[in-house]
Amino acid sequence: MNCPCVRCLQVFVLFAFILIGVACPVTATPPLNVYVVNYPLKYFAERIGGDDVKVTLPVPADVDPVYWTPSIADIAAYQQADLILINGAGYAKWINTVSLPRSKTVDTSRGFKDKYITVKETTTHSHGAEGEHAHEGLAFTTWLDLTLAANQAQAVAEALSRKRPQQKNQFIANYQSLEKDLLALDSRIKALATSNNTVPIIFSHPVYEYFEIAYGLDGKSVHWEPGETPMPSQIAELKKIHATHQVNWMIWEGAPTQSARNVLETMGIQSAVFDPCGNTPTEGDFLTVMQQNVANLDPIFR
Amino acid sequence: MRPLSIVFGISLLVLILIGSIPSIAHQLSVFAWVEGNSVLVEACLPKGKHPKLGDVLVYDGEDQLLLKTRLLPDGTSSFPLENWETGFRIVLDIGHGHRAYWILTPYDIQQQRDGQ
Repeated sequence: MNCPCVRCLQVFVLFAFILIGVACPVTATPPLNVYVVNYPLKYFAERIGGDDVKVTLPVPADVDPVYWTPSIADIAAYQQADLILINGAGYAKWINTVSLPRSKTVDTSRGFKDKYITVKETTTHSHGAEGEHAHEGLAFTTWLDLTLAANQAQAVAEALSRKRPQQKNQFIANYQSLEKDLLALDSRIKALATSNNTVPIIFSHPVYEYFEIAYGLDGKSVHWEPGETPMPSQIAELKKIHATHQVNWMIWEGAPTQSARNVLETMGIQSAVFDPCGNTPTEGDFLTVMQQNVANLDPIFR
Repeated sequence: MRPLSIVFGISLLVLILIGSIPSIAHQLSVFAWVEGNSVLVEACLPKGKHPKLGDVLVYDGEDQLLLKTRLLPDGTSSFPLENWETGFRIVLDIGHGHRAYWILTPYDIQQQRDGQ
């Protein structure tokens, strides 16, 4: 029983196991390589996927992801991703100019196609680096209805779970936390807006369709850019609208120039920012930007 | 009368030729694919129409213009499959600011070559 040979063998085996354990640690699964088409989806995927995902939005921060023109290398990177999350509803026009692998691509708004909003505007105009373009077809800023944003987040959670079934419980728990945040924002906007939703509003750009319908707002849109001084034709268009749609507030995508504020103030119109947050914000994240947006709405409906 | 008739005839022809240019942006589309040793290009407009005039510009992965060719009256074009290692951005310009592009990555080209 106390044979030294047996004891030596036992010690040897024990050390061998320890050495094997040290030399060969359990191989960590690399994070899923996820490519997205806008910032809300990046935020959702990162909140849900945590350390199990590496999410890339290759669109430069100063470019609207809707009208971004990718390079060949950008598309090659999308094609090599484990998962491609698209917004759907006609968002990211470049999707129609490339081949994305269908098996890896998930349309996060597909589940509520019946809620897509068709817009009839067909005029073309130009701003920023993307040049002349038109707002027509489907409205695409789906996530500005925060309940639809929650639906898109759920589609993200399901897509990640299909890719990493072993992480499903974690993804679902993270999604539920995100959903709670999104629905809390939704409730706050509803509480604000429904108390006084007959307030007429002007939107600086036609990107608030889902927001307008979800919260029962009385809005009309123009084409004013936050960083630009309005042209006489734009002012004339606004005056025409103002004649029948007596507004006190214009909601902007970003802070307007002082000259634009001055023009509006002569018409008795104040400015408030509700940033759609389509691209990565310079400060904070999707949630903090939306929280600030809701705070900015407060004086409109008070 | 005769010169006027000629001018009228030419104007009518030009109108017919550019008649399919869309009145609104974003409705022109272009698609390209590999077939044999060529890249085929097809331009489309809504309702099954196609433009009859246009320039086809082919850029490589470094955005260098590789070649420029014309769209044929049937709305198609083609060019030899050469120097494709960095992929192609194929731009169709039918004038009046109406442009569309299609991207063929090296992966697309390899897949399509392998599939033949």
